[in-house]
Amino acid sequence: MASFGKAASLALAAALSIGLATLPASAEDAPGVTPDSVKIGSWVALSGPVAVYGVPLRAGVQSYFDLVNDRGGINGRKIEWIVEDNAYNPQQTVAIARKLISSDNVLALVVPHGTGQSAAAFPYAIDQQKVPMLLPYGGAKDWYDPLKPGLLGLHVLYEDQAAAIGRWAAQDGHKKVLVIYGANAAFENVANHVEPGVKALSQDASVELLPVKIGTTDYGPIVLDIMNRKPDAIVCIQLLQEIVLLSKGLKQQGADIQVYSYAPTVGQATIDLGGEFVEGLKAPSLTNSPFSDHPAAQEYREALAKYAPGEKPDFVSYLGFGAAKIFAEALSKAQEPLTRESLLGAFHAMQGYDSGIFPPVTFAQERPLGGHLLQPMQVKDGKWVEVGDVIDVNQF
Amino acid sequence: MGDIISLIISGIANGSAYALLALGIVIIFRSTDTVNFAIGDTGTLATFAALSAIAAGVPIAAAFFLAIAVAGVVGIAAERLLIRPLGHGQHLLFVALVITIGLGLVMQAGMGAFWGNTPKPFPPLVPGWIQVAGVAISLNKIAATVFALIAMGFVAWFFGYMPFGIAMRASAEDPLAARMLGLNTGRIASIAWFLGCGLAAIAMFFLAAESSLNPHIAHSPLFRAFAGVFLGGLTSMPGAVIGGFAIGVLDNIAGHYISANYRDTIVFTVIVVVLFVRPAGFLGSIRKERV
Repeated sequence: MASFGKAASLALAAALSIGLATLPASAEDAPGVTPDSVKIGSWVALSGPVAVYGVPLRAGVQSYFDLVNDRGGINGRKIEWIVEDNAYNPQQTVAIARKLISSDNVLALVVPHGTGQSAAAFPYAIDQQKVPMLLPYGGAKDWYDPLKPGLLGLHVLYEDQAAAIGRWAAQDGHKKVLVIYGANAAFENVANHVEPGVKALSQDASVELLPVKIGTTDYGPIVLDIMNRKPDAIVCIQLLQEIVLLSKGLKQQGADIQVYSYAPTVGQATIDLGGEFVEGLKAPSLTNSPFSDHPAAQEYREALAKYAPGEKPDFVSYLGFGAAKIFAEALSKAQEPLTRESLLGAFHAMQGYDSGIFPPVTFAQERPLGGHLLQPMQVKDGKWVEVGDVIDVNQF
Repeated sequence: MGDIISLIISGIANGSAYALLALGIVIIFRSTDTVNFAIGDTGTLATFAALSAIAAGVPIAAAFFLAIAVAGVVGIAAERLLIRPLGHGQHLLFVALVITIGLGLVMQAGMGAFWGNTPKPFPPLVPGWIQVAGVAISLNKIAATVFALIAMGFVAWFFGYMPFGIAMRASAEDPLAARMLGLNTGRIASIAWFLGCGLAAIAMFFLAAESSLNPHIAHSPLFRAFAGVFLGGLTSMPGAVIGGFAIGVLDNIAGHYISANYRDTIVFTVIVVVLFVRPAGFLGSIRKERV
């Protein structure tokens, strides 16, 4: 009877240890993780005014995760990326964050979309729930000052882009720059950074700001106003459709003014919507060209054709594909048991990782922004082409 | 003030879409006591149908008339299935208003699901542009203006001289008496919804060509069209058209001389002041009457 009791105890101990081995490290720090899957979440504007970015962004990220999953996943785990449509709405984004964290139990928020929208979710997601928010599409300087544990950005901040564009315009010899921006705080904040960039290279240049109501569809009076101000360059910090309408109005009015914009403008949608009117438009890109012969670009085009056949290759989906690739790299290097801490540890150990899409990225605890390089681009003959050397915003 | 002529011309061109929408709103309101908030979305839906037809190889001019037909049929269906069953009564105006708001939201979601939410390039019926008084105006806008003026003329002729139009006015004046005289009031309502939604399709067709087509494109123009309706008078068809054009001009002048950022605020401030002085609008009457 005694030996039976001993055998039973051993069996129980073995069963418990097997059971424990297959469970996550703890329910608190490894939510969404099982031996064969990892659940992550995001909000993306799939409807509303910025769906033009959100739809291809999702297609790019999802294509990379589908590719990885078809290859067996990361360390045997398939990636389940739950995406909710935030419609570019901050309140809706907070509700989505609550759902993803408390109901779907995600390990991390990966490639969430929208600057003001994602910021609205910080108090709940990052401060209260301590959920990592990784590689958001969007961002602002004040996101990282003071540093928020768990918030890691990938691309050059819009403020830094604006300063770089200002420097670019000054380098091109423009002396009277008009900055047109969508009239809300986020766009205004970005627009305000153009002037320091211009003045850094050309002290005698003038920079004027012109806010325009977001959602404006008739640019007739605005174009007349612009022509009265006689700028020799315009920097547009606006939604894509409005940049297209402004460019159209300027060309129709016969205005020969160089127009610059920021990275979200670099995409096929600009050319599809603007046609001949956006010819000559200049903007910096966060990635290399998705149409190049680079192996990463080829892999992207093949994956997009297979997993998102309705989506044409483009800069925004390419950016999403690259962001997903960087996330997968960190996930593959995260120590077991996989937890939020080990995932962040893998990101912080990432030194000069070259995705082939973004310039090499480096993260550290005190360096939450992985990227600092921009590629100047211009629309020529209906295509975005690289013009000039890469801009390092840290050298500014 | 040197730009005033060009601003007025450009404003009239911009206001044509508002005028077309406003006329559609008033025709439907005067025939069925329904403020149709789904009218813009109906026009957008029809324009998406036209875009699909163009992609399939249908000539753009044929797609234009297809859009009018689709919007008209959708309008008739909405009236028959959603509005007519409500019957008549004082509660109708409010209930029907809520129903059309809901219908518009459903249409937007449906268009997003079927055609996607990203803006789609849309070809103009008449490509190119010309300089008028120093301001570039697209031929597309000029065509929209011509259509708005023709539509206003047609509606005035139809309701003033055509037997069926006169019957519609009689029916609206007293539906019970009209039925006793043998007039088919149901058919009259269907025609009014067909006309109103068809005009909305024309407006959205031209607007899509000016910018791009997406499921939410009607939001801002509808807002301005209603402003035009109230400015001109909810019961007056010429008033609605003039109100729509006036909104376009006011919008341009406010945007140019005061602030491009506060165009809506300025335009609606002017309207509030006008309505304070003349609650029925410039050409409307306080006593509500149907067609």
